[in-house]
Amino acid sequence: MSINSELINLIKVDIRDDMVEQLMNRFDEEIVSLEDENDPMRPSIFRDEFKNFLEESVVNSIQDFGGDISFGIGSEEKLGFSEKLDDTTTDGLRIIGTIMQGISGEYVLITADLAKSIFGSNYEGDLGRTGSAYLMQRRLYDKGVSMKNWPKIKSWGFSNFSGTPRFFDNIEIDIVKYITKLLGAY
Amino acid sequence: MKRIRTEDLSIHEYIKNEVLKDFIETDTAILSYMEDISSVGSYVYAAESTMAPSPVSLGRGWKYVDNWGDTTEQQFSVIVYDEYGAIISGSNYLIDYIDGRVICSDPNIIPYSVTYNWNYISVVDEWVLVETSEVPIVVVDISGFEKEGFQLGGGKRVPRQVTLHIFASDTAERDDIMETLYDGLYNKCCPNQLFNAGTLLDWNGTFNQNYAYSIISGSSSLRFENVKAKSISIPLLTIPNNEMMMLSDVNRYRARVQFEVFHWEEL
Repeated sequence: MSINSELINLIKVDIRDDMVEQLMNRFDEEIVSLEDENDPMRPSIFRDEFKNFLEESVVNSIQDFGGDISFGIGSEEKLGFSEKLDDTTTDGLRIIGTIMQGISGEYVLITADLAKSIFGSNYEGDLGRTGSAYLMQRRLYDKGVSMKNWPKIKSWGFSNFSGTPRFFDNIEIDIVKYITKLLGAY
Repeated sequence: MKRIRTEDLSIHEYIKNEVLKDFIETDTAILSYMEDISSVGSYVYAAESTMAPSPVSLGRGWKYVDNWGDTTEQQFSVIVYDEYGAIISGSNYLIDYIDGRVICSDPNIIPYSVTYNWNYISVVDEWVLVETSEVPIVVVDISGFEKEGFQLGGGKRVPRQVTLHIFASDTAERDDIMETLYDGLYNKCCPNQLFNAGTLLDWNGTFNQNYAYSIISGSSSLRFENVKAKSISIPLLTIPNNEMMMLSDVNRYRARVQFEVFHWEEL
């Protein structure tokens, strides 16, 4: 097996696990620690989904240019950061992406179930950019409560949150350790 | 004041009065007498502006120096007129630059109108203040730091991470502000001021006549590096099946500029 292939295997497992562990620690410290435990869409529910997403993103990002190998972690399209939203992304990743970007103002999280309860069970309209969950301004939702008897629900717990804009910054990789391990195989 | 506070103020001053200097608007407004807050020897007149956003909304205000770096009160940014259109000398009144008011001590001097320069972009230092101002807004958010030695012996390098959150009213404005901020920070620096006699404005919005420009002894200027700018979208916000909701949402046109600010200290 060539050294390039060995290096790719190292990235796919050891380095991936190292990076993901650091980010999951940040996830627990900077996001989960702030969640409302009564929120049915709280970030910790999507913890495994987010971890799998990070792991897959590392593997999917590996590019072998012959002498050089590049790789990254995360996906702007799946987290909803970029103008174009990945069609295959999930509510969980969009919720986490929104928390990372931060949002000003008070909002209610409209899930598909809530949308059907307030718009009618046959509602199949456009639920918004995200397809099945979106945020509605609190004052607009309150109008629905007073005029259309929408159910009274709490504001989304991450309303008025400044986000974690440096979440993906400064991931440390102990290159010496990995190179030593790689060369040790020869 | 603690060093992080003076750095925050130095950066805030630099961004508001130098980097965003092209976003200054001029307005002429009639002054109306405010009987309820006036008293003998203090006659208060407020400018009745029709501008949007309001020149006196949070984080804006009238310009109190003609140019960034000036240590004395402006001479040309605010001009007060009497009812005949004659200029009233600045020695006859105080100006509340935050609330947009002219305060006279002589009841015989009656200001009628004012022409003033004001800051179009609101610059605030707390995320929660975004809701109480009007776009465009820039939030200056200084976060973590880790001091490290930089030479043999004493002295250290003090870096801090800063994020500027931009909230604009459309994509063109957002991109304009983002690039202006980026250009104002990339390969640039600003003085690390001491503010030993307070900031340029007093608590009541008037110019601090005791203000003295001084920099921190044994400290370098504040230097900016690793500047990154990016427009951002919020994945859970709805798209135009309800246009009113989108158009009124402060989060619709956002961007972020991140950078590291650092200086060296002798001790």
